[in-house]
Amino acid sequence: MFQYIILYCLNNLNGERSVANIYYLLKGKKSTQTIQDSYLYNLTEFFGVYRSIARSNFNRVIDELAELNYISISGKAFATVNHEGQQNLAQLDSEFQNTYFKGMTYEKHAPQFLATFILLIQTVTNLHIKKSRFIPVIDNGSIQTNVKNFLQNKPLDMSVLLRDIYDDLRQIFSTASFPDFSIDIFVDYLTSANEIGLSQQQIALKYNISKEDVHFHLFNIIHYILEQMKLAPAKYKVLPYMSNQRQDLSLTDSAMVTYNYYGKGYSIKEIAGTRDLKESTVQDHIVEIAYVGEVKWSDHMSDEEYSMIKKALVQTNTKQLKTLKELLPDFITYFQIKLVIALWHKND
Amino acid sequence: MYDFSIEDYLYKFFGYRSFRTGQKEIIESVLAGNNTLAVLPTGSGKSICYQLPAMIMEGSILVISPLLSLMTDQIKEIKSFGLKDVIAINSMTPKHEKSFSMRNLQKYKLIFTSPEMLQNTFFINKLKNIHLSLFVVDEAHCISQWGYEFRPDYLRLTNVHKELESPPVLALTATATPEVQHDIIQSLQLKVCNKYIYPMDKPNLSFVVKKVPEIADKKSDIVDTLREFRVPTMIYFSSRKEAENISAYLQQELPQLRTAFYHGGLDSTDRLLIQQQFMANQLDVICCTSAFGMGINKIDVRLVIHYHAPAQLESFIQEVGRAGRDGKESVSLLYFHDTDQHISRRLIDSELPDILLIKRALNYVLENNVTKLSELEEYFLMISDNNEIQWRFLQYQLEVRDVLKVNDETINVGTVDTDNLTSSINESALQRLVYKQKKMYQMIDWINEDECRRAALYKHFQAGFQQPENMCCDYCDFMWQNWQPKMIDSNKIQTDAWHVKLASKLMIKEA
Repeated sequence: MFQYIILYCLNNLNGERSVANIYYLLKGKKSTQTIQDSYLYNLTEFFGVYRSIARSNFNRVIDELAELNYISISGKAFATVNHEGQQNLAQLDSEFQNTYFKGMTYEKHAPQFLATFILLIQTVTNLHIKKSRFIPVIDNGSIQTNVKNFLQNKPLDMSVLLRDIYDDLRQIFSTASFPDFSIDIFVDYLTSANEIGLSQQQIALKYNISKEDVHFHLFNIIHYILEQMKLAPAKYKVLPYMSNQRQDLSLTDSAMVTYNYYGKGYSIKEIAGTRDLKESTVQDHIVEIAYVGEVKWSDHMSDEEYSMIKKALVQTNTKQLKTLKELLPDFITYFQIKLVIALWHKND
Repeated sequence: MYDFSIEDYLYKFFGYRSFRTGQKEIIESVLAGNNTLAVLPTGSGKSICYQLPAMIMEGSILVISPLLSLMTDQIKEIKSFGLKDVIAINSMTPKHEKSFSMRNLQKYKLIFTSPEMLQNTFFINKLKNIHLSLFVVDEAHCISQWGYEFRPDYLRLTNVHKELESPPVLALTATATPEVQHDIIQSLQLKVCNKYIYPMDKPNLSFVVKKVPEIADKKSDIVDTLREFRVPTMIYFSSRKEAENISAYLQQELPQLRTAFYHGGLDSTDRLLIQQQFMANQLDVICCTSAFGMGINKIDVRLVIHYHAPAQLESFIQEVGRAGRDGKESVSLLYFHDTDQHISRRLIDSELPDILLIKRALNYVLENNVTKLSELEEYFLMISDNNEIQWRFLQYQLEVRDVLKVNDETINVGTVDTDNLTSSINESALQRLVYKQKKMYQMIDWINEDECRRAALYKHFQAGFQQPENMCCDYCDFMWQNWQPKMIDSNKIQTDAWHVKLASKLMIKEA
């Protein structure tokens, strides 16, 4: 699945960005560039889906793809997908079309939810057989507090709780079609009082896939569960209470501060002044905000400028800023182009 | 003195009805406020010797332990017993957690820490403000120059102990020659000290050494052995790569056996899962480096194999000590090929910086006017390929030569001539190298010795040994056909549908 996702991303980037951008995308790097690119190239679903990925493992897969002649890498490490790669992508499409990643929404929440779920199953099954001494497989204080809080708020009989979890999972899995083995992998990874789960390394070996693939199989399911909990919480008995979702905007911390000022009606110049930032930095924040929050183009350009930029976008069908800038009159700024792309994208 | 007997406490807190050898005497000595040195073999429950006093005594107990993994394993185990007033403060603790726990130190009955944390003046001041009833030095052999795991930073403990107004000391170790025992007491400047030395030989263990003509014979012989004896097994390797390779080989050759590998390179959740699978008998064979086994309390390991010989007898004794903790018959099997010496040699060499590296580091300090320790550390780790053992060595050498002030972590080369400094540090490195090589040859001599393996192994540590309960060794009487351990039942390979597996894990019946 890892290979598929990388090919998919490269294909969307269309040779306009370097491969490192995908690495930052998967890691969920909180930089204006990464966030904007993920909107520009329709890759928000993969934002931050593999926060713990190691650079060396990422590079390994890129090398593999190049060796298979699926991709070509230019001097500046910009990669394009070759004909063979396109064919392979089409093939993999049928296998992996049902992925449910929503990285921009769940990147932070998903790892916590998985860890909480794993520890909850281990705890409840142990309590069920009246065993209060066990070594938790999740070694993280805040996750342990989550589980404790959950169990205090749900003073159910453990056997009822286990039955409810089982029913919820069956219900969830019946509404989606995951890639082969995905659910088996998920179940193998669970630890209960009568059986310790397999490590990700062992799962990779068992299904003859890479360790990164295991990660994607697991998180595809987690993202789906989280989305279902949001869309139809009433259908489930226990899981919605575990996921207590806090909807947070995917903004860099600095953009978040700008957002607060901007929402109160401060101008770019004023914000830059109070925050001791360059105006261009604040402009970048505004573009970031435009993807997720409320920004009006009419505050930043005339009707005429707006329609010129839009026309250029449609005509060239590119998102490369430099090309667009050269096409447009000099008085149109990069900021204005970026803003129109962002807003256009959102209305898409 | 107390309303309850210490046996009552043992049962109340740990659920055991009686003490194991040595525990009671040591705990009584500690409770009476005496300095105590305890040499207790691996697997005999050393940690109870301070965990129980922590529950009984007023105030807090400080435990200094050299390894992070050892600390976290211990804390997990203690917490699983329901004791929550424990804390580890070390370099891995997140900053906000650290400052919170430092402010609330008096809350904790047991405070685990590492020697490098004891350079932190803030921490020391916090420790001064609480009532410390005991100062525990775990793995105390690390303080001795003659100990096989000498850690320069352990030598700081002496001053810290004084600064904390010298609370009673409990020094614990599993392996210490009389020479090392003496060194521990000297270094800690304990004028009066109760010594409890227990023999480290295990009468339920049989020793076998196999010298192989070809390296490939090792793995084929392991396959033959495991095919015949399907028992809980640990195989020790000196390299991560090799542990992975042989694990894959065994999975392929013996698919009916459940094999996995374990080393420090796995991420923490995967490590926890593998450990617990082994504990829960979901794994039969574990291919590991020395990172595995500390803090693991599996009592029915029947066979400990050494694919490579460790670098010294002390490590060997520790590692074979993980077999047969339940007292039942178990076997140690060590393979040796003539070229293995080179592996040990390389391992030893990699622990000490060579003269060029020392020179580069010192020149860097001089040319860039480095005054902060962290700056030098970063540079050194970069040029030494992240070799932390070498860094600790260099750091200590600078410290004893007064180039480095530990309290404020500053470096001051001053008027010192770097050439002299380089050669003097190099001198120390060479001395250490010679010592390590001597240790290595001791190990190899044991393998080549033409006498009873038991006698030859323990003669360095103690006078005599207990009568073996089963076969002694391949020199005396060992024959594989006379070994009849209880075998693991053959398990069927699960091919159930996911919902059947899920129901089984969630312990419910499917509707």
